[in-house]
Amino acid sequence: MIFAKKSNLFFLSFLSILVVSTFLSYGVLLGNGEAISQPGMNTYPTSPPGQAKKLERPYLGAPPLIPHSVEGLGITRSGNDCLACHSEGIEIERGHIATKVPPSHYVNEYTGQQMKEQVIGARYNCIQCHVIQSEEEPSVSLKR
Amino acid sequence: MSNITRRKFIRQSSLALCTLGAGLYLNPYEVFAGDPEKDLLWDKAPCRFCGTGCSVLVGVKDGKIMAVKGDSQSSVNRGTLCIKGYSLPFIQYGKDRLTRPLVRKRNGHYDKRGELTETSWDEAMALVATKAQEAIKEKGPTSLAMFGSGQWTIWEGYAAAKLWKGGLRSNSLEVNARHCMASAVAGFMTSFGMDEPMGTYEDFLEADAFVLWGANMAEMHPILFSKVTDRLLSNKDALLINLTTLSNRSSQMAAKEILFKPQSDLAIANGIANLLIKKGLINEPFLHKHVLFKKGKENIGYGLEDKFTFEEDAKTIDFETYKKYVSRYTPEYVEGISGVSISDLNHLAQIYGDPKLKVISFWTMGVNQHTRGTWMNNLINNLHLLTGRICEPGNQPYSLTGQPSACGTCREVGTFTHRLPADMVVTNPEHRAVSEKIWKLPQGTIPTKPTYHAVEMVRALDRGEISVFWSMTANPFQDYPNLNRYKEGALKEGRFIIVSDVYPTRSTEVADVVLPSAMWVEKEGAFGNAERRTHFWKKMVDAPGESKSDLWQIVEFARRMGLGKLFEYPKSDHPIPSGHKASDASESAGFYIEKALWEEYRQFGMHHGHDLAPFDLYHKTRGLRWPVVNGKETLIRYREGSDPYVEKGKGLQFYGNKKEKDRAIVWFRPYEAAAEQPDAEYPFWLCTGRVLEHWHSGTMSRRVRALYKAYPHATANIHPKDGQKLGLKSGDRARISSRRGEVVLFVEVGGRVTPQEGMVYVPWFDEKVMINKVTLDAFCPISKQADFKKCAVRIEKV
Repeated sequence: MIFAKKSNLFFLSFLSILVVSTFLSYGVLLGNGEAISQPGMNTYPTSPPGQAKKLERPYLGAPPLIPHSVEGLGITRSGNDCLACHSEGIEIERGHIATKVPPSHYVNEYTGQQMKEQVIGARYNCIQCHVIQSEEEPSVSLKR
Repeated sequence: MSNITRRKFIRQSSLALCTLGAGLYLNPYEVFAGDPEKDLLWDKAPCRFCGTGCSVLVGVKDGKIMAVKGDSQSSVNRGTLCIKGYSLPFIQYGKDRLTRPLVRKRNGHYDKRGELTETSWDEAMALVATKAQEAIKEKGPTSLAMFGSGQWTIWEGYAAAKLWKGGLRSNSLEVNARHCMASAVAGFMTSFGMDEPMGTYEDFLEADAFVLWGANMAEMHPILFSKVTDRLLSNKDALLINLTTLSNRSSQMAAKEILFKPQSDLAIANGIANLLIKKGLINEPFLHKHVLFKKGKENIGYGLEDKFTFEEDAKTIDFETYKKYVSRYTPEYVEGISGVSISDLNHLAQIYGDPKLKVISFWTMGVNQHTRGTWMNNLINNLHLLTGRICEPGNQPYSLTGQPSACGTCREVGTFTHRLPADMVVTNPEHRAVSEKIWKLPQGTIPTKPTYHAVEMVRALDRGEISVFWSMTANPFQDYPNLNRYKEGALKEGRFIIVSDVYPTRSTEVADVVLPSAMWVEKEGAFGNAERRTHFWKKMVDAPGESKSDLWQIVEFARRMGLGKLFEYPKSDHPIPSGHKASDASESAGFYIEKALWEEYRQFGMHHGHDLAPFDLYHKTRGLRWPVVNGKETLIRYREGSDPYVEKGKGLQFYGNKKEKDRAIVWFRPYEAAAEQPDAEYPFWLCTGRVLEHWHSGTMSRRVRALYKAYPHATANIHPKDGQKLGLKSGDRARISSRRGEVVLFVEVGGRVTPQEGMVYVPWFDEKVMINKVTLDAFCPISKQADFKKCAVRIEKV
């Protein structure tokens, strides 16, 4: 009852196509005739941990980016799969050493507590800082 | 994928993308190789992104931001940051940064059908002022609309409010925060008579149980979630319940993920209240002393029609009547509406009712972007009031905030059509009088009637009642629901659109004038976070090209409208800062305009619970939580010993509700269905939202390489069973359509967010996937906040 009838909608969509095409020709929506990039699928590295090449950090002090597949790895209250390799920085395959968790991750600055074996809770959700990288380079489809 | 095909794939995709992405970015991996401690100049600022308000240290060299780090001195984040925070050094340096004013021109003259053409500030501002004057002359000042932002600095919002309400005499001032937390405001106001949470983030470290109400905190408030995680891991009895309509990352730390049907949270909260009463888990002495029961209007509508109005009809009821009303919400009845099992409901009631547990409820957009958002806020507050589990360390209803200064700028300054600073409103003659006195304006200057709330504002633009629409630090033409109508409205003849922003956006596409803004540490600023913390920063670097801060733009516009006097203060009272870079607005004014505005603004809140400290104190601290009385911040409001406003001997005093003898209100609010529900033609629910890596419409985050690459595209996430039914697998293309519009995008079956069956999740950050063409512009009749979480759609493989 509160929505436009179907016939009206048909008319409206026709109108919107008309409006859109009008502005396309004026270059309002796309501007300067630039190709607009298309919606895509997020595809991430498939190489398992221990086989991927490390990625350069954006700057000194920035968290390392994840170069390998994280398929099947999980972080739950009972266990953290990332830490299996990264807490010690083990050599997974010859020449591939997992980046070791730094000392900062064992100091709880909220409570002052110094942890010995376990990363502090505030640093436990690794993937809020360390993110996996797809192979695509940035492309924002907006041009004035 | 075999190695060969994989390599080929990478090569092809990078070739294809080179052509599109070339030249857009300053080398974002420009590595700073020096010694950060020695070579960089460090200063503090709040993060530019979410409402958590983390403090960051910004490292600058040669006028450029080289690095950031988490600030150990701030109790908000204690040295930690999320990936968006770590990406701050890049948000300003996208290659397509706007650096010169643009006017749409053809043959050298302004023309709505022309092309955006670089011009001078003088020409752009002259055109803006001419169009504004024409609008006022033709249709009155209400036809001149400002749509601001929860990402404005506090003084930008304050200057806009003063100019619009006190200068132009127009209440046509709104902010994107209407889409974000208006329901939380209406909830706090109706429950407690004062806006904003009573507690602080310190409370999280004391709680035993956390209940998430439709908030994916792990992605949207990562640093706050890390505090929760810390509590969970250091206390084996602490637990988290994730009440949600979709499986998400927050469930990973949860004792239990409880899926409920969209809109049924209303029934669940009432069901818990009913069980608390039935099991004798309520706190009768507390209710007797501190609570009043009320009931409001029912069947309140959805605001789908233009010029929709609503008037509340509140009645005080007694406790027995309240009990009778909620007794309808038996576990069986609630299970039928929500799909939540009777045992889970009992479990929730046990958590809220167990006097040994300290419990915090969290909510954000799931509850606020809701056609019954105010009601849902009331219902969560109810659970804490019924049990007396409130205003104590670890016992709080905690409303999380989306934007960095939705609280500081929008809520506290009152940059909404109906509001004035410090919880005052334009409809109250006393409030207007106080404001006119502080602003040194003749009595009767401030218009008495609100005009347009955010949704009605673009409807009025479409209808032609608004002629000039100015957007600052917002992206309305990607953000608004039912976007097709409003974008077409903006493109109509006779509508003049001004967009102040830092990059081209979907909104600059429809703009007649684009003004390049200075952002974040390119200006001096103040944000207010979700724990009432006001946090200042200094200007650290210059803005590129001719970009100017929104404050400079507002003052310049005022001057050209003959209202420059509003922003003139004695120069000798506020000399330009000498210890740090002065902002463009201060340099242009010839005095410290931020300080002058602040000292005036804080008069609004003094002596009635909204006290802010003198300007200089904030530059020396990592922020202070108001009310700040005698230089001391307040951690828990309404509690004696913590809040200086509580009278001696009262213990607890909800002094926001003076008229109700300092009692908080428990509202009876029923379950009512969503505005649009799935049917045979449109059989799926659509829920929109965000992802960890992107901020709102992606204007900043999509120009940071690490963030872009972490989540390049918005996809449609569906449940595996729906994938089977629809014949869709991950990587297939699909069309999502509603009665209002459609998008085509790729499908991900399952994934980081996996909706329940019969629902699809699409984030709105991606300018290629304009999902708001599909969403519905229904809103909560009380808060006027739109529901971006529920509408009916069809999914087809294409």
